[in-house]
Amino acid sequence: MSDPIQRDPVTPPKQTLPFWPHYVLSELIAWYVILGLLVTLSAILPAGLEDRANPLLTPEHVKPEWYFLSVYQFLKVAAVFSFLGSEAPRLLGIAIPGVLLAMLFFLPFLDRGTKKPARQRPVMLLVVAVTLIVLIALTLWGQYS
Amino acid sequence: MTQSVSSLSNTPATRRGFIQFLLGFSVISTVIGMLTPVIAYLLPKNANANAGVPVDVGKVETFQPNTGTIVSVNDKPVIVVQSKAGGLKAFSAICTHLGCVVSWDARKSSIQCPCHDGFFNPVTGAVMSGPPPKPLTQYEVVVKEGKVLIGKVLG
Amino acid sequence: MTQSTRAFPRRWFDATMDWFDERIALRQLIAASLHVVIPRRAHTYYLGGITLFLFASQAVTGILLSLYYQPTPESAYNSILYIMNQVNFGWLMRSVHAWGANLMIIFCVLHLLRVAVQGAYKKPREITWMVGMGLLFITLGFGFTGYLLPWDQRAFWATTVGTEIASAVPLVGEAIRDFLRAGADVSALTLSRFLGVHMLILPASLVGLLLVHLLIIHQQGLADPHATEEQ
Repeated sequence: MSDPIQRDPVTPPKQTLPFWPHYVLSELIAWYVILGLLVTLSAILPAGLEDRANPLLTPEHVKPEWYFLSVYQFLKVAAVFSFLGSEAPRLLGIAIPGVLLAMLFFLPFLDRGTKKPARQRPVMLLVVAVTLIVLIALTLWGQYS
Repeated sequence: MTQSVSSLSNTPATRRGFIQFLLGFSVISTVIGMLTPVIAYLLPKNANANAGVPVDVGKVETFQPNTGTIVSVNDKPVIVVQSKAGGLKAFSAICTHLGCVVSWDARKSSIQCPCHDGFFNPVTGAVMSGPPPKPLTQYEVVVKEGKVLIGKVLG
Repeated sequence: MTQSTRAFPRRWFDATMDWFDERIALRQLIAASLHVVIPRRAHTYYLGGITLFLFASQAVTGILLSLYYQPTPESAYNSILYIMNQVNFGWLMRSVHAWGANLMIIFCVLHLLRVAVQGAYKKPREITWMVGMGLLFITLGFGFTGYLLPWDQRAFWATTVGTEIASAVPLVGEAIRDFLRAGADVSALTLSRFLGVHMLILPASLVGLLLVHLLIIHQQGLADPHATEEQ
């Protein structure tokens, strides 16, 4: 969508917005909303506490936090690589996420195309969408298995 | 009336002033709203929920005549004295002068504060000599089934 | 409007600023700091700023929790119970810290997705992206180390399983696992180690990288997602 200001022939396009106070004010409003969200969530669902740690008794469903669950689940899924050898599942289970993370880290050097609006970069959008779907699927799988 | 209101709201300076007042008010109330839980969080709690419940401090035989023994009651020092004059008594062992822990002076048969040589009466806890401004707080003592129990504060 | 006709707080404020101006050119410093180029079409959705706010909230609630927390296997659990049940607003501080941890990771990832979709990581912003990835790793490290501290069943076993993953690395895997645990098992030493990392190493690293992240943003301004930059 193009900016209406830009099509205005009389007034020259104003390309930038002042950081202070315009951007800062919007940012502060966003912070205010998040503060409200934090306090509301805490009041509705306060942090829980299970039984005291017992090194001699493993509870039934041990899982890492949700943000590590996809990697944890992938490590289980990696059993399909067993046809490559007995050590392959463990190795690939950690190597593949590692390589993907490294690729993400060096993304600016892998994708060197010129900057274009998001809609003109379908490959990148597809990669992001597929990554997200796989991560969410692995997380849900890990949660409910 | 109506006129004055409309003329007020049409003055840019006043409108701006009003908005600034509202903004300042909101900012200050938010800051107060955030600081209140933080300050309340930092305030210490009076942990003595058990105060008044009798605490077992040992068998009667442990408290021999002409002795004073320091025992811990709810994490506070208490001196249990067995004197000829008054029998088994218990006092707070915290000197009312500067908070040192008192001890038993067998020679004088009285409670002594080692810091500034204050002496207390082993029967009433009253100040006999020295700088302490107030008598020691006395606790209720109950002997039950051969055990000494320290109860609530007397007086 | 002259100086003398101004209202009291404003006049007092101006005088204070003048005092600092004479010495360290404070107004100039503030004006320079507040000058960041924001293209009108740059839609940030305030995600990075929200992550920053959540970090500040984590710092405040974390410091407050550390004032009552006792980091030994014997007393950690009870000190959490004490915070939740006895201390005024203790439940609020711990709950805000726990929710804030989850939200911080969510907003970190959303921020990353936004930058990825808009292509804002492209030249000249490669360093900002990599520093940002470092900040994400540190945030995940905060989550991993903080999870053990309550010393309940979930904490203990999640850490046991989590550190066990490291042993999948060939050759040095078990050494890494034992290094993380400060021994062969999750123990009192693991708790001390995780607490030290959670309260000292990670906060210091995060603040350092964050300053670099913000400094580069300040130098370059925000990316305009709709245009190739000429400069």
